[in-house]
Amino acid sequence: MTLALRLTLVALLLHPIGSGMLRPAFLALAVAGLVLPRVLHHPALWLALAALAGGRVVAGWPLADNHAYLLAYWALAAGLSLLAPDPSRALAWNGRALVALAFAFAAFWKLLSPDYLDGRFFRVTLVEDRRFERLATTLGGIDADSLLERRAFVSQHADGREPGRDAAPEPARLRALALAATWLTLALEAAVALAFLAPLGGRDWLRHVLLLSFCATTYAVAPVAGFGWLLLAMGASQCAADARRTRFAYVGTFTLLVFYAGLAVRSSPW
Amino acid sequence: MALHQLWLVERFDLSAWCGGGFGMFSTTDGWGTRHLHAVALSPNFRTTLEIPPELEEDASRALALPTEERLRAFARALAERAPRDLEAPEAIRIDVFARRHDVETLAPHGERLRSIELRLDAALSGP
Repeated sequence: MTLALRLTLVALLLHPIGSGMLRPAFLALAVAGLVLPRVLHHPALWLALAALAGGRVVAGWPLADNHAYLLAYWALAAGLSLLAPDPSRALAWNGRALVALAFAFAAFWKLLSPDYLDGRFFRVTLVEDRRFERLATTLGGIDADSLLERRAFVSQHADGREPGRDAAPEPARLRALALAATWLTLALEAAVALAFLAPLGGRDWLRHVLLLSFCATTYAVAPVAGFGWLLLAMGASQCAADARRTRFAYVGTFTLLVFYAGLAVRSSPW
Repeated sequence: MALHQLWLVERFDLSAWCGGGFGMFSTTDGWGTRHLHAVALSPNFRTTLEIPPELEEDASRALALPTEERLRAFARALAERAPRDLEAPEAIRIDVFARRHDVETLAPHGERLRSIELRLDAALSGP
């Protein structure tokens, strides 16, 4: 439990969130929890974080990212779990439920969305979103000039169905990469959701393998390390106190995401 | 919350990326790919309105969740800033578009999600 709580606070320090007075308030609480062991396990810290995170969601409605909601739920779960007779067990149950529901809804939305299922989402995103530029050029086989041309094509302003500019042809490799990303992402998210929803008996290790695999692969590409850190904290809450290897795997993957985030900043065109 | 988001997407065109339903990375229809046009209408003129910097946040919220109520509030805010040098506008019209892509070529086209027209006398006297 301590590991899960610490990872959550470290994530808040690595990627400060909120604007105005919210940001220093988040940071101050995170520092207090990390420096003072008694504060780390005090429900008030987590309920205060939940209130701040909830306030951030309300103030930003409806624009807040999904991990803003997840942070609010998780902090509330931690605060309430610390009031329970068996805090570790309560937090593990909540962490499992949150991971299961977040992944189930993520997979559900992809299944519901026609422009995801036919590959359009990743075909557009790989060329339009600059954060995927490295993936598109290295694995997708599109050169820099063609990428810029296709980016201008897919993002051109359109009010109706008027004819727009022409585009450079879409390389077959890029299209194949988009389709692979489409189905791999959906399959992995659905697998994590099922593993965390289903009673696995003695095969609990499967949950850790899937969640760690998801985080280690997805966040090498997707530029939302903050979400990954939160998921890892929830996964770490599932670890038994004597599961040293699993705990080490969570810390290692958490650190890996730190490097991913650092590389993303270095390669950012901004 | 996630079920509420589902309802808002279905009923009020909330972008699936928003609202806490975990629909990020599921569609190209994020609020950032939507756009809106605001026009001041008068008997002889039709003037496209620029979105002033102080209303950009409101515009983003209107794109993410273009409810009639939100668009009317946004139109009222624009009405207070509408130019009145040539002819006093009688109404503000707002159209919100989502960007869609052709399945094969990915060529984008706009799909109008919602339109409202606010009479200015109502705007100035309304809440």
